[in-house]
Amino acid sequence: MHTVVNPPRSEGPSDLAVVEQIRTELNRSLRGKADVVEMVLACLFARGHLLLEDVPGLGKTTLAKALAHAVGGRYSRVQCTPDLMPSDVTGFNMLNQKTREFEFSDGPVFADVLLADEINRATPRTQSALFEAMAERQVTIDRQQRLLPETFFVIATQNPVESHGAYPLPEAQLDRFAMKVSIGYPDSESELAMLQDDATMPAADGAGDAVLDPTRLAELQSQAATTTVCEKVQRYLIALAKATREDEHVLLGLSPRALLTWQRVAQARAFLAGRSYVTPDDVQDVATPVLSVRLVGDLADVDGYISESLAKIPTPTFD
Amino acid sequence: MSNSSHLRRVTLLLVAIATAQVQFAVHAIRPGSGLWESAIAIPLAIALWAVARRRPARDRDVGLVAAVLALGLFPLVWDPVSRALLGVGLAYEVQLAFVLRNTMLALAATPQLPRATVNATLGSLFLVVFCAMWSIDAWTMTLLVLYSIVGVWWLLAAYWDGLGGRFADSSETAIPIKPAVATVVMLALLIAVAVPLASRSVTTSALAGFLPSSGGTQWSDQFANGGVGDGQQLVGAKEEASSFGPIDCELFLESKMPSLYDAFNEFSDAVPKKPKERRRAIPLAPSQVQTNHKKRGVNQQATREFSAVRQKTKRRDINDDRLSTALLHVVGRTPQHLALETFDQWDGHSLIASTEGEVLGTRLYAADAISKRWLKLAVRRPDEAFPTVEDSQVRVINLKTNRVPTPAGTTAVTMKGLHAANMFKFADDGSLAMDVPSVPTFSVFEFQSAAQARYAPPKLHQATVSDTSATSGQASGKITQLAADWVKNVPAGWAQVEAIVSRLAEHCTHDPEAVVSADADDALEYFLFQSRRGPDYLFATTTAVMLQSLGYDTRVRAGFYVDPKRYNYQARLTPVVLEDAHFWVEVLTSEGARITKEGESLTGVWATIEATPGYQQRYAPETLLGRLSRVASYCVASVVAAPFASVAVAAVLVIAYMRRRPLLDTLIFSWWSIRSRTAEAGRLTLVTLRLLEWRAWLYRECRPAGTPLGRWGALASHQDFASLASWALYGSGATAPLPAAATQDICRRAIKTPFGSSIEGKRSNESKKGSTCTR
Repeated sequence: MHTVVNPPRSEGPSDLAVVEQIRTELNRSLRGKADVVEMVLACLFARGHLLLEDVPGLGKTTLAKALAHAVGGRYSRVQCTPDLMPSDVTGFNMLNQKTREFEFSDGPVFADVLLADEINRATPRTQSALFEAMAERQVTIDRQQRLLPETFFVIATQNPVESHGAYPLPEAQLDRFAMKVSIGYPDSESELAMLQDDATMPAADGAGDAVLDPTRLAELQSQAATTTVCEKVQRYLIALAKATREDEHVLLGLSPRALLTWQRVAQARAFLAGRSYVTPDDVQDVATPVLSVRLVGDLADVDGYISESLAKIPTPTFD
Repeated sequence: MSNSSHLRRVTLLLVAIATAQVQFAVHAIRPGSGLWESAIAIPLAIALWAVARRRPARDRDVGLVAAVLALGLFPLVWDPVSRALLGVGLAYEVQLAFVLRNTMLALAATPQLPRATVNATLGSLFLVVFCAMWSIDAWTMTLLVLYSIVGVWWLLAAYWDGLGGRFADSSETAIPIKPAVATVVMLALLIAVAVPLASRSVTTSALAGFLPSSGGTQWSDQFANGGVGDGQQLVGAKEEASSFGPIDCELFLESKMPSLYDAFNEFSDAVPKKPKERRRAIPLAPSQVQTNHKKRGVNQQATREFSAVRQKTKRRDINDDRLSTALLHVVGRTPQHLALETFDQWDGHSLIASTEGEVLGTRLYAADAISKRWLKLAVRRPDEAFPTVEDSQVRVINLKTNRVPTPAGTTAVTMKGLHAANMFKFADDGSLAMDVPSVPTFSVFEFQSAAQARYAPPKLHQATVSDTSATSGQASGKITQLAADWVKNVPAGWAQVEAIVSRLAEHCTHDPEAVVSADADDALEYFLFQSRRGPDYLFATTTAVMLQSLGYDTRVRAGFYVDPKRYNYQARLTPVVLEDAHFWVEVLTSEGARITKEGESLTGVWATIEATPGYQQRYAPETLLGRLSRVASYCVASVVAAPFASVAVAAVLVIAYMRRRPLLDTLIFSWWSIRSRTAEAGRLTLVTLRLLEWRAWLYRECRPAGTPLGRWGALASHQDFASLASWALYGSGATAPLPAAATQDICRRAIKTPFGSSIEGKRSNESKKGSTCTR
């Protein structure tokens, strides 16, 4: 009986071991949400940014902090409010009274993992301050460009329930997120385990040990980007994107940038599965989080629409 | 609904109207034409649409472009095949219309190709206008109006879809350098080739054949729409006036016409009798020679006898200038037998003409009258043996006789403009004739004739040998014995007739060139027992004589065989030429009795028997009900004849049907086992996957279109194989994940697992919902 399911990558089984460690750390912090953890990891290794949409108290911050600790980088958190200024996020030049020179005081954006909590409560001006950081991994302050870490990763959260005093993210900003994930409530067993852990280790903040450093993370991200995508799968991606563009219910279909993002996330998904090639399963696995963040239109049930679209377009098999 | 999809639907409507317009226009030109092309091309276009809509979008889809081109050029490829195999062709302009129509359909079916929708619409516009030039009738006008209305709708839809975007490519201001240079070069080449060619008359003649008015030149096409058809064959006289054909305004040189006597007696000459005495001749000076200026006599009557002992001689020189050799033109179903003479006696060497006309001659005027415009020859109600009455038309083109070529089973005759019954008469042998010296050239006779049923043979009038006519006594003892042997254990009636015909066909070979030796005492004995080869008159005579020896009343008919191979598609008629002269047999049915001088009051109903191998007989078209009942009767008869074998076969079929899936599984696994011996790991995995998809199709559990392998319910218990298949399909050369033996083992387990049981209960709802077997 052969139990080999996923053929191992030829390059370094240690990569898989590292990935497994991160996975374990995140699952320990966020119980009963292995699928969410997988998506978060796929987003991380695809060098994308993550939008978490859920009600308060479901572990968004816990997840972000656990991830930041796991990858061993610097973690920042910004609580977005309507009076939050762009400079509060990016940093600003401040006159040093002693030296009579301007010194740069960096903002929370200069981190490896940035949690922008309730991002839709910030004004569009402040939201836009994240545009450059998310897309180009740099910020421009007083005409001076400042580079962000190569592994810069934004986890933004938004509350879908509250609408008063909220500023919905514009499509341009949404397109800069690789995916949108809802954590959802854990199941009973997971909640029981959570309660028991809390009773025995009340002081624990949920953050685990560092598994790797930013340099190693960048290597893994590069490794994930080399995952092979055959032409059949690429054509499949194009067909799916075209279907969203031609659908009468969708006002704004997938952009080429979104298509690139989808492919990168699918590559990361295959990488996480230990494969050196992408299959249509990978494309479909990440379809809902990738598409739901950027499809704009008259869609009552986005997830249902995505499932229907996936069911309509034939997956490639034989030529 | 988005504007694009709306525009595509309107375009499809325009394309449908244009397609209908083409079909109606072609039908108006020539009814029934082009049906084969449409019956093939339209389903192909629908199939192309079905394939294209499931095909992933590509920037340069060479496959789709090739499919469009193939469908577009299909009429050009099909037409030569159709002409060769079916004898049906299309005029060149119709071919062009079909090429455009197919291209339009293909473009409409592949909207993902660049500008396909716009080009399909333009094609439909051109076709609608093009076809309106052919025919203006109610349908054409209706479709034109409909097209105009939908066209306005299309323009509105195109506007809303973004008119600029649609036509931007065609309104570029920049001059496309490469196409422009290529066009100039092509034009220069065309001119360089066309000028020298066009300066020759042969070229212009050839080009004329490609126009709708083609015909009239020697380059014309027989399926051309216009022109005078095969006019050049009929009016192209160069040296001989007799080459002129049935053109009303042309003269006709009567003296060169082959007479009926020529048709049957000079076709194969009788053995010349040696003169008993010879006269000596002496040479004379030219001045002493008396030239006979008297016009040569023409024999317009049929011969009273036909010798079966003949020899082949050189045929009369046929006027080379006359390309149209038709004696008659027949409109109606073929094959058909046109009777001109009747022989009912055999003297051992010759067929003797019947004398039935002496009795019939008075009956025509007394008993039959012109009813409406038909001159009734016989009153016959449709029955099982002769279920239908068919119309046919015979045009006398180039045959000089007063006999009327009469289809077998004729019940009524008419001739346009002729209302006098006494213009017709019965000849001495009972054949229908006109009471004029010769039937006028280009006379057109219309007939109603009873068609014989193929599978409901008539009951025959069988008398004792002593009751039959004198001809029965002409059969020699050997022939009578042979006939009796051939029908031994065969029930009396039509079965014996068929037995005689089939045995004779097996016993002897049809050879038009074979002759009976002049030394033979009995021509039929020589034919049956020595040469066993002979022409049609020997087959007919032998059959008639043998059947007479068995008590059946038969007669030999001479006339023309209307050969279906000569059917002219364009003119929708069948020409009859001299070579179609033919003999066949008729047998008297129980519907009547032969009329004799002693006076039988009923006209005999004669059934046709085609005794010569290679010739066919006209039968009444079989109805669907009749066909079904015949098949049912055959099945019942087979079961009754072999009940145990039938039950066994039925049981095997039922078991095979009930166990069809395991049987097919076994076949599939056998095939897999063969392939597994040679295929390497990747190939074997793909072969296994394909076979699994086949099995899924057999079990109606096809993988839904959007379901990847890992989520396919059929592979739920074979995720290891699903991973292998993913590697084989998408791995792009990645190293094999498992050793060859392990791969084979996984594939074997996947293919060996009973399909229905493996997926039962494991199918996801998603798979179940979207499952569509498209194979």
